[in-house]
Amino acid sequence: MEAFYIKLAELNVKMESKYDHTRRYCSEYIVEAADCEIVATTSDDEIDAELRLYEDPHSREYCEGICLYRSIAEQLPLFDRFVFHGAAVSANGKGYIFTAPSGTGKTTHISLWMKLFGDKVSVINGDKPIVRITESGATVYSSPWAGKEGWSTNSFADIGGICLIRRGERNRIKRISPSEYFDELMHQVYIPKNSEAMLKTLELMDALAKIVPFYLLECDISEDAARTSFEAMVK
Amino acid sequence: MKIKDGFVLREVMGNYVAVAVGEASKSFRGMIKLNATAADIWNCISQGMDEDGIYDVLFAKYEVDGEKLRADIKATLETLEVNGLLER
Repeated sequence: MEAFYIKLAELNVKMESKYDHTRRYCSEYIVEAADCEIVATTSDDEIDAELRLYEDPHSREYCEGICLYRSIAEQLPLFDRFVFHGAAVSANGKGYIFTAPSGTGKTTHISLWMKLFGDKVSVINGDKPIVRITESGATVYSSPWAGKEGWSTNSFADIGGICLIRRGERNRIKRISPSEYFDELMHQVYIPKNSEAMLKTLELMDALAKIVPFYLLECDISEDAARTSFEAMVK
Repeated sequence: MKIKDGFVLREVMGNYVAVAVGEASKSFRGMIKLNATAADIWNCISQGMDEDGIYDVLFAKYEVDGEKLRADIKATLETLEVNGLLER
């Protein structure tokens, strides 16, 4: 099947895909283009290796998409962008990213924001948004890759805050210095194998830490937790 | 002594990390965090200094007790060596 183009974080990406599944997965992002900044490629070997990572069966088609996103993630830092593991929402026009190891409750937390604050809040990407650093600030963009819930809208917002989530007995939030949470934060960033892109990612994270406020939220899974984070970050 | 080929030091979000680049990145993936003193020592080694040279630089910078500083430098050099970052 023929390659197709998508627009991702304002870059044209050529998707060298074999499966129709990938084209459907990316349908909201497809553009007509003649040239591109990034070419996303993969191979049968890579897809086989990806398949072996999962305990429950996944399709080759699905794994091709994952491999292609990795190919993109390897190249994004050279364009001042990187893939960040987190749930990104916009609220009152600003972007907020909740980040934590899988299973901590990022998705639950943003679903509570949507339930409680309705029209003020919309999902950007539920799992793997793209962060872009510019001279004027930091912006979060969606991508088609959005975790098992598939929560993604082709949108972006200037980042208003990044929030680490930890489970806790009480609901409380505080501003943190990202330097003290270095390990936790770096675990949520895609670190490329390519050395140039890897070093660039470190630079971009360093810049991000200077531009946007970071928070630590300790919370249970309750509406009170969602009110706590919303009031501290958005209001 | 010298820093092992292919390793570089970066300051990221107020932390110092050593990472492998190029050929070295094929056998070492990840980051090694260094404290501020270790980062200073790294920079001295990169400039070709020996242990005495490092001592002079750090003594001027931190104004700490001489014996303790010598011991700290020795310990840090050993740690760098054990972690495969230093050749001597």
